[in-house]
Amino acid sequence: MDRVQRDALQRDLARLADGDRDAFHPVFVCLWPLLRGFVGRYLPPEDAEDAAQEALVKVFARAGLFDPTRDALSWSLGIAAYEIKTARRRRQRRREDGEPPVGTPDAAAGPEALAIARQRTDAIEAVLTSIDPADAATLRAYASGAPPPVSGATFRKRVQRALARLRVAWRISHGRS
Amino acid sequence: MAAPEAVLLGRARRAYEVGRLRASLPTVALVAPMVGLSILLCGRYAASACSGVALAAVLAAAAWRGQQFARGARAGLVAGLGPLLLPLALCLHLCAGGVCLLAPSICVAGGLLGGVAVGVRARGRADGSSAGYLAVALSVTALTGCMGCLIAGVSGVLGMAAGMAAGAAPALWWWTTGSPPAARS
Repeated sequence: MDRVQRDALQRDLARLADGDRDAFHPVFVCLWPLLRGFVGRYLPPEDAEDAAQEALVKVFARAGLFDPTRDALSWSLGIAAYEIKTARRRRQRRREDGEPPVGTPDAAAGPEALAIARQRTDAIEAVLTSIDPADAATLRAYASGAPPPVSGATFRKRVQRALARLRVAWRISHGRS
Repeated sequence: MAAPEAVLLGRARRAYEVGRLRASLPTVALVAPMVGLSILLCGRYAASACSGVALAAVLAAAAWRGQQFARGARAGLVAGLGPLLLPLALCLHLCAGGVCLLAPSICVAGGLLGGVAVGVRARGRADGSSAGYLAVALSVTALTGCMGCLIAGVSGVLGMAAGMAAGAAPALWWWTTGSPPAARS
């Protein structure tokens, strides 16, 4: 978050604390990705989203009490930090009670998971056809666990290079690694 | 379970509004000792309780709404202390026992004091927001003062209202015309 955004958050949260409802949406737009990212860094994905939402709701619940002389960003992150602590404690309690953790996948994959896996395989196959066939063959051999046709060190080096080229090709076709 | 962004926006909005209402509770709680004092010293239970309920409702609404309404409520509470405490304190000292003919005059003076206080606080607010500010400030001052002036009965409350109108008249003049009374004459 740069200085301009930080100043804007300070100004908008002060307006919201004063009761100006027009400042609600700008604060929401600014805080939601920020809190989601912050909470996501300290909690596993299955808990992070819920904890980030709780943190955001609490920030708005206390927005009427916000003191404009305080730093808005630190104040919001303080509430999020407390929410992280609460989520961790809840997780710890679940583990002590022997409950299965939230987000544990079933042994049998559902239709949605199967569809996602199939889509992912198709995408990888499509990218493999776009790179050098020698690289594709190396990667297929590596994925299947078949014994390498060359020495171990050479094969590892080839796999490393092929993976680097695959990443570049993936980034070009899918926009991210 | 994670909610979509629109649902989250709705939740955040509700949390904000409920949070504002909850934040108004300390201000509303100030009404309780005022009502207690009024009931104890004036002995008019129903009237004191009604004034207290009305004052609590106005304070809660103004604090929840915020901006000039909340500022008006705060100014009204401070200004209302004059008409609330002056009659109670003076009548206890000067009119111990029996009917006190001084009480309505003290209520007029208290009302005048409250009206002037609102007028002074409203000075320089001759903009679009001053209507809400003045309306809330005067209502809160009147309801607060009412609980003190009940000691003199209906005449006390009417006297306070008259005094307050006289005290706040310059501010009202300023607000309606956009310039202070002295500048017109």
